[in-house]
Amino acid sequence: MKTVAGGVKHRDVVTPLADLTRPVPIAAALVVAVNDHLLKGAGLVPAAITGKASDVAGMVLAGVLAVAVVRAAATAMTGRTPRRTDGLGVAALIAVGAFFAALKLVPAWNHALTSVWGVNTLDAGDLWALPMLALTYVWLRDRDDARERHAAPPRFVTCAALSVALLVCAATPAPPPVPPPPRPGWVLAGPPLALPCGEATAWIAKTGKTGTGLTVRVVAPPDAPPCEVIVASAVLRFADGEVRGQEVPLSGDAPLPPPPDRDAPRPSSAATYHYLGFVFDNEARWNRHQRSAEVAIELEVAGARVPWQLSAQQQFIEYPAVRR
Amino acid sequence: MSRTIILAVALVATGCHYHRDPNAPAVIDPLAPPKDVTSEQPEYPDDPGERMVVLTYGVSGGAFGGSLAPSVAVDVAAEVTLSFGEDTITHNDRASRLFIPRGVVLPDRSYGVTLGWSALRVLTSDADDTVTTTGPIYLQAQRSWLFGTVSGGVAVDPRTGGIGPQIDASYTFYYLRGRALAGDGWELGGGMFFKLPTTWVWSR
Repeated sequence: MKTVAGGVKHRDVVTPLADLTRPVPIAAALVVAVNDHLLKGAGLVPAAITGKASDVAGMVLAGVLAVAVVRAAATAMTGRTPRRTDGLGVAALIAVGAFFAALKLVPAWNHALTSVWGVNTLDAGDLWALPMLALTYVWLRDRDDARERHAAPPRFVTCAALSVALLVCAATPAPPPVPPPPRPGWVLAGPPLALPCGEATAWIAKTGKTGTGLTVRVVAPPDAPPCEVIVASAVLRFADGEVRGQEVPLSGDAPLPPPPDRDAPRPSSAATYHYLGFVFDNEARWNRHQRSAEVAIELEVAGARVPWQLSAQQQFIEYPAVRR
Repeated sequence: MSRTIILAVALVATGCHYHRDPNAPAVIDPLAPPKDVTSEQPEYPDDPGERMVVLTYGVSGGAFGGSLAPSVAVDVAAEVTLSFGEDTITHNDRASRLFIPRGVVLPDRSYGVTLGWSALRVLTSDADDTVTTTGPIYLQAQRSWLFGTVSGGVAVDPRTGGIGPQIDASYTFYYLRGRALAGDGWELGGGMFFKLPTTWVWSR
C-alpha cells in the first residue's frame, strides 16, 4: 500500500472524503448546479426560490466539503482520522459560516471576492441560510454514529465526488449583464412643443465623434387625424459657429413599428418621426471642452412656421446593460 | 522621509489605472438613422478602442549559466518599463475579469522601453565558493502582446566596462534572457519576475 509522509496510507487520507459520495451532499451539489446554471434567470421558477435555493444547498455542500477536507488533512498530518463532529469539524463548519456571513455583510470582502470569483449579492437576508450548517452538523453526527454500517466507496468515486463538489462550489452562475462604459454625448433639455394639431418632442438619438443626430416625434391627440409636420430647418449653434442639420428619410433601415422587446413608453395615438443628422467634429469640440449648444428647429404646420429652441449639453451618458 | 513618501505613493498607485477624457466620444454615423427611431434612449455608439501608457516596475529573479559566471549565477534585478499601446476594445470597469484585479488594465499590443539593473548576483563556482556582486545595467526596447513580451537592447557592466547585446522573452511571470558582454563573456538563463503596472488610459 502506498503511503504519504509519515507512513499514513493513501486510503486513510481519502476515506474522510467519502462523505461527499453520500446522497445528501450529492443532492445539494445538484441543486446548486441546476439552480445556478439553469434555473436562475430562466423564468421557470420564481426568483424568490432560485435566489435562496443555492444558498441553502450551498451551505450543506460547503459544510460537508469543509469537514471532509479538514479531516483528510488531519489524517495526512497525524495518521489519525478525527470524528466529524469533534472540535476540528465544528471549527470547519464555523469557518464556512463566517466566510458566508462576511461575503453577505462586508462590502470590501464581497467586492474583493466578486472581482476574482464572480458575482455574489451583498444581501444580509441571505444569512437565514446559516442554520443549514446546524442541519449539516446533525447529518455529520449521524454519519459518525453510523460509520460502521457503510463500506468505503472506491477511491475513484470519492475523488470524483470531491472534484464535482469543488467545481460546483467554485463555478458561480453567469454574471448578469453589466452596463457598458459611459460615453460622452449631447443631451437635449426643454419641454415638448405644443402644436395646433398635436405635440412635438425631441431627443438625441445618436452622438459621437463625428456629430450627433436627433429625433423629432410628433403626436396628434387621441382619435385625431395625424399631425402633418415638415421640418423646415434645424441648426445646432455653438459659441463659435453653427451646424445645419440634415433630415434623413426614415425608410428601409429604420423600420416602423418598433421591435416588441423594447420597454420605452409608446405614444397611444398616431405618431410621426423625423431624424435630423448634424455632421461636425465633435471630438475636437469635446477636447476643447465645448459642452453646451442650442438647437433651433423650425417646424412647418399647415403652412405656418413654428420656431422651437432647445438647449443641449455634452456630458457622460450612462447606458443600460444589454445582454449581448 | 521624502523617499518614504515617494515609496508609499508608488505602492498605493501600483496596480491601478487612471482614466483621462481626451477623444472620449465614440463612433457613429450621424447621417444614418438610429436602428429604433422610436427609442428615446440614445443608441450606444461603436467602440473606438483605447490608448494606454503603462508604467511597470518590479523585480526579477533567475539563474544563469555561461562564461560570465564560474558555474551558475543567481541574478536579482530591478526593472522599470514605460510602454505605450492600444486596444481595439475599451475595457469596462464594471465587468468582472476572472482572477485579474480590476485595477490592472493592459493593452493588447504595446511598445516600450525597459531600464533594469541586475543589482544582486550570487556567483557559485564548482569549488562551492560563493561571491556576491552586482551585475549589468540594461536598456531594452520591447514589444508586447498582452502578457507576452520580446525585447532586445544593450547591457553594460559598470564594474568591468563590458558592453553588449541582451535579449529577453517573457510570458506572464516567466522570462528567458541572454546577454553577451564584450570582453567579459556570455550567459543564458531564466526565472520569474514580479512587476505591477500603473496605467493611464484614454479613448482612441
